[in-house]
Amino acid sequence: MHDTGKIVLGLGVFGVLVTGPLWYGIGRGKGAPPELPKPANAKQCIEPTAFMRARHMELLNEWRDAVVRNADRVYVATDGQHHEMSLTGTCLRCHEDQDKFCNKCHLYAGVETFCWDCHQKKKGKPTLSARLGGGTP
Amino acid sequence: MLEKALTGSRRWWTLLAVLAAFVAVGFATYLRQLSVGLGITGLTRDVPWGLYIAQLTFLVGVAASAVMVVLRYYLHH
Amino acid sequence: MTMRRRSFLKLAGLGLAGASTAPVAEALVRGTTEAGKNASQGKRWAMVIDEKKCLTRGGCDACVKACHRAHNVPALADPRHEVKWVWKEQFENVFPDRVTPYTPAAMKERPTLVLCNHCDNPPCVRVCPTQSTWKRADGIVMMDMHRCIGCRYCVVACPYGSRSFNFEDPRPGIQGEPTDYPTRTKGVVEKCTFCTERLAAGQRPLCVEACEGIGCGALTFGDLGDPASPVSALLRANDVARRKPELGTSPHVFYLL
Repeated sequence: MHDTGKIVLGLGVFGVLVTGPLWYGIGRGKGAPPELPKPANAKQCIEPTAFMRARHMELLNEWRDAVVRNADRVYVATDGQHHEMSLTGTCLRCHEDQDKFCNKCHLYAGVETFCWDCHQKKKGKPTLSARLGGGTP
Repeated sequence: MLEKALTGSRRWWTLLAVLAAFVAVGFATYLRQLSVGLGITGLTRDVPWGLYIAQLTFLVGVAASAVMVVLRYYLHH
Repeated sequence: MTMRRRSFLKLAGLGLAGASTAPVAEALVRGTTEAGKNASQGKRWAMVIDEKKCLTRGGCDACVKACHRAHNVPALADPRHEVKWVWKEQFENVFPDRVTPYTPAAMKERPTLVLCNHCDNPPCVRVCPTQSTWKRADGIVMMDMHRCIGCRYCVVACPYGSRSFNFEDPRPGIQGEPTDYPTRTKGVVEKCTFCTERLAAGQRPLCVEACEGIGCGALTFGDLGDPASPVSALLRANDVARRKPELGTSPHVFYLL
């Protein structure tokens, strides 16, 4: 059983494959997060920008559970404003298009957004790149 | 131990190639199912659970009994 | 050695106490959720379908069209993959116990409106492994497509065939432009939800409104917990039938035959 050579070789190949994305990314990709377009019809989001930047997904998950499972439809923000808990109805009313807003950062960060598989009015099958934030065909 | 699988006659390698072809076809078809949906399995509104579910527990039992049968060779040889 | 272990345990306990305060502090920063002011409050939603009124129209499917259009229910090429929330079924399949050897063929083939019965004792809720379908306090059997894993146990369990599985991507099958209601992906189960999104805004289900809109009024929807509601009145005044009552599901879609 003198398989040491084969095992080490196998481990080496595995290591290169697993770190593949790192090799692929060298030299590619932008240096800084993209600039996001400001909505035309509102100065302030429903919560402060810092909160939204860090925790918008938590908020959206909470909204999803509140609307679907608890049948609540209204969100009372920390400043007392009432908003309807709807991704397409409230968020996208100001931020317009997920390609212009959401997917810009999500593509940069490589974080998949599968909201658009369902909460999307544009027809056409969302491709894998669309789910990664590249926009739908 | 790896040598046992890697040494053999022409017939052995032919068998391995045929089985590998089956595996490749299965893998490619699974990827297609992931992309298109369960509709390509032939499951329908009237037969929502086909071989997938009905035979799952049965084949688990078959696999377990196969292990039981083969185990004796390894223990007593 | 003993002293070191004891002091380690003390430190670990303090650390755990400290760590547990963090989520509490963060949770206070967010807003709260509540039901809208127009939301319909009901103790037990139910529907009554007047077969005679429905039949006088003959071949009408205004309710089906309204529901499927608004909820982005696809029309697929392969009938074995069909997705339907409300549909018409032959009378002998809907009420097999009311068909005799002497029932004329025309009556056996009478198109009868069928939808999810929102049972009191729903088998689909009983079997769902993820509780992505559950019984709300107001009687509606609701669907959470986010949580559904597509195992189809509920499809198998429902004795009425009310639930449909998305065997393929439904979006290409949507007729016209998708509406605001979220579409579903392949791999989840869907069914009639008594238009919970409309109930939350104080409106009635689309099928009921569509039927009234064409002047037929065969569908009545209301709160059985309210003795003054139209459905309560209809149930008090008429002999009603339910689908497969012997199964013990206690369906809440009643038929005036």
